[in-house]
Amino acid sequence: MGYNQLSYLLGFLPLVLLLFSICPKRSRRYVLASASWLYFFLCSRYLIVYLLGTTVWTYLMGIWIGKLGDGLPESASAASRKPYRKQAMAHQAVMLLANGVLFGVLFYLKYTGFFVRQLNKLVVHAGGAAIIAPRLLVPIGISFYTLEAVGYLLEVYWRRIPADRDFIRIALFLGFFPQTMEGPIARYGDTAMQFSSLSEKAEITRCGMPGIQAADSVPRTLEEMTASAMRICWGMFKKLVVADRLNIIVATLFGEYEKQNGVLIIVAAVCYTVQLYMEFSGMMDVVIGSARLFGIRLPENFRQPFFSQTASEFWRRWHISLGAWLKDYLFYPVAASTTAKKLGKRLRKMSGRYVAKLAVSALALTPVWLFNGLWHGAEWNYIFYGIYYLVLLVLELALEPVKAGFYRRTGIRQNGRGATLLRILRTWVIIFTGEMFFRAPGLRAGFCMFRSLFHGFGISRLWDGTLLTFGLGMADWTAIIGGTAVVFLYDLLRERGFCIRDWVFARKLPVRWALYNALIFAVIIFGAYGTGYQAVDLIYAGF
Amino acid sequence: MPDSEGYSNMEKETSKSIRSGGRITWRVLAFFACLIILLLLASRLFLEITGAEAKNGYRSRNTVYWDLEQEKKNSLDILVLGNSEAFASFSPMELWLGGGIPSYLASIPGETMVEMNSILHAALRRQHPNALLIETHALYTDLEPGKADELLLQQAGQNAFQIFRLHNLWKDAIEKPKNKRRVWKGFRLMPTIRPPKQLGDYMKPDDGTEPIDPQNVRILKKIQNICERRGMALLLYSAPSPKNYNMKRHNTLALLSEELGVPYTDLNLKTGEVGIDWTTDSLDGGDHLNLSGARKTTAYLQRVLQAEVPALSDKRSDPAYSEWNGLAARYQKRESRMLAKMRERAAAQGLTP
Repeated sequence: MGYNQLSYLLGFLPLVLLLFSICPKRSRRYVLASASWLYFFLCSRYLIVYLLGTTVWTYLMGIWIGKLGDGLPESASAASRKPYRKQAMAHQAVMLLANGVLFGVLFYLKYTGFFVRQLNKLVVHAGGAAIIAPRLLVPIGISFYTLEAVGYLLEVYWRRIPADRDFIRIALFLGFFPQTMEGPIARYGDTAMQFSSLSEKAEITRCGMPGIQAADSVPRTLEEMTASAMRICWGMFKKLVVADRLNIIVATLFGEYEKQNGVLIIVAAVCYTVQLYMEFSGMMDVVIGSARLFGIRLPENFRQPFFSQTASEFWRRWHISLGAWLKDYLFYPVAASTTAKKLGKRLRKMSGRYVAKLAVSALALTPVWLFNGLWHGAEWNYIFYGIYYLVLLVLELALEPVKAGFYRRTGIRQNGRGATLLRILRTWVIIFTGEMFFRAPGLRAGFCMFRSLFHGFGISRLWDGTLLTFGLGMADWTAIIGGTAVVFLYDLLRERGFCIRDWVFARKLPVRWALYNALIFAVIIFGAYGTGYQAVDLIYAGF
Repeated sequence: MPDSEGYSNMEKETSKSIRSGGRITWRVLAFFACLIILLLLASRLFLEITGAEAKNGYRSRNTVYWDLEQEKKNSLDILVLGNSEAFASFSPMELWLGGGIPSYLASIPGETMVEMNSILHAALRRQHPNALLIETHALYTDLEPGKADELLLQQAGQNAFQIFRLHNLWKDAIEKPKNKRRVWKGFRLMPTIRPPKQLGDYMKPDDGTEPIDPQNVRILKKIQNICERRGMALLLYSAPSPKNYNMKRHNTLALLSEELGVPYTDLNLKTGEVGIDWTTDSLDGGDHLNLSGARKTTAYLQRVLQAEVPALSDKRSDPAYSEWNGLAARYQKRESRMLAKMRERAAAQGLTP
């Protein structure tokens, strides 16, 4: 039951909302927890044991880590001194055990097949017999809730938050049904406290969490509910009108990549990038809209990424929650580690500030991008995708002085319209190339497509009817181009700070209703569903 | 303790909040009422556009819903459902000419059991036929595992609001529909002759079975319940098709019909009785029957129907069905032309019975 399916949008979600609204406030979080587990069960059946196991494990280990951390001094150096040494070591060991088990389960379910395949290649090459890789079923959202659980345990370990003794709150933090399948990867401070404020305000203090301010939950007013429902419709517009249509040509071009070259490779890369954005951001609209119907504010995952001027900016605007998680729990710890500090010091002495900064950044970025690539899936092209961005980001840092010198010497205004536009276009090229490797059926296919890009360019194929031979007719292209233009305009307005929601709510009732109905009918009429179309599974649910 | 002024203020506040809560509820209800009205109006509009296109000969797989609405209320005695095997093996006009039985062939290519259920519901809104005749090949079109209920729900929604089914019509404004066809109560005259290259193991004795998707069996049982509730007879038949039928399928379907207590006629075992000649009666190499084959199977099914459904009567002299006679005359004329053409073609290709 994906978020784009009728059974969710017109069945599960309204039913849970109704139950949530009619039951007493103090029972609401129990309704949400039960609904979340039911949703998971409906999607993954008995694999719910993994979610339940992770919840219980995270809850208990959080308390244990919290207990061991009691009384330890704040600074690491003080904690390593004699009276605290044993306690600090136990504290660290439990944290490592807790996170090791969480990552171990994720690794076993998601990556065993991949590593056995690689091992088999070596074994067979050496003349041995291949090992049979176990066929494992992976529960939905495991990559998302595992990262949330690890983040929470690290926060407790670093004593930024006290361990939570409220099991239902931990259960909802990890398994809240609107975000189970595709994220966003929330941090504990983002959402957990909101699940308490669903009940009585008093309960927040009763559960003994004085150090944490509850993030603002959403008031369940008519305006908020309407805005949430419309956000769901907007997400469905992106998914049904554009993304699912593009899937037809994307599947054909990538499926028969050996037959494509020149401009068709560019079409494939651009179409897939647009499809991925429309689908993932569209589903985030459905997810965030669904959560807000219950008064829960989830973190945003996208901020007009196609207006980014650099690759690093793109990653601050695209899949924001993953980027933020990697920054907080991987980049900073590595950058602040003793090894990195020592390396930085030594290089500063030997080669100066620039080289030291570059080397420390590269050291901290390497695990971030390898993890990013591998997180998406156990395939070489995902790992390459991570390395691709690692190289680009290090290059970006390395070329910073050159870039500054170029603008100084030429006198070109760095923030001028032309230069900005050129930087945006350059970032597009980077994004499209990356997504081509990401979507290609394997790394070899990715390189094959990249090579084919430079053979038989044939730009006339853009208008000579070739594009109509991949399963999309003129009407479909009209819907894709029209739908993309509408979304682009919406993003442009948001980028310029124009709040469409405020503008709509400032209109008179008949105008507002006409706008709501126009959006609903646009989805119904122009959506790619029914005869001639196949329902497309959620791309990120597969990660 | 609040004083009397306090109580009065509290009362005012309470009644104000109740009033505002009530206003919100009414506003939400009014919005959804408007939306439902708009959906119904849009559904009507899209159905009319489908009809206008159908009148010009442009048909899609959804035109059947409009067609069913055009039939006079409670005028049909037999409703035939199934996929392309049905529309290649049953001609309602032939049944009318042979026995004066008004029938309608509501089949679409690749029809699934979910679609069959949906078409039946749409048909039963205006019709009360005596019997439902189902061609069984749709039972062998597997559904996505575990999806039957969701698909049934979707189809029910589409029956309530046709716009969800017909929404793609806007595309016809940009791309003109390609296929122009004339249908006769759901039947299309298909004169092509392409005999099967070989019949292979077609209906050779075999004790085995070939399982049917349990979701399809469940839907068939639902359909049977509907028939029982409405007092309609349910009959199953398998159209002659060397490509789609074999003894294993026959055995499975025979067992299923026995379990359901439903009469089942497998024309694949009666090709001799029916008079099927594979050199002249096949449309596309043994997959479907052509016009010549459909005439023969319809004549045979007429006898089956008359034997199994005693309530059927000859309506050719009923003034309420005078339109049918007019249509039948036009059908006969066109059919004769086509049959003559077919004979010429068969002779030219050296295909003699």
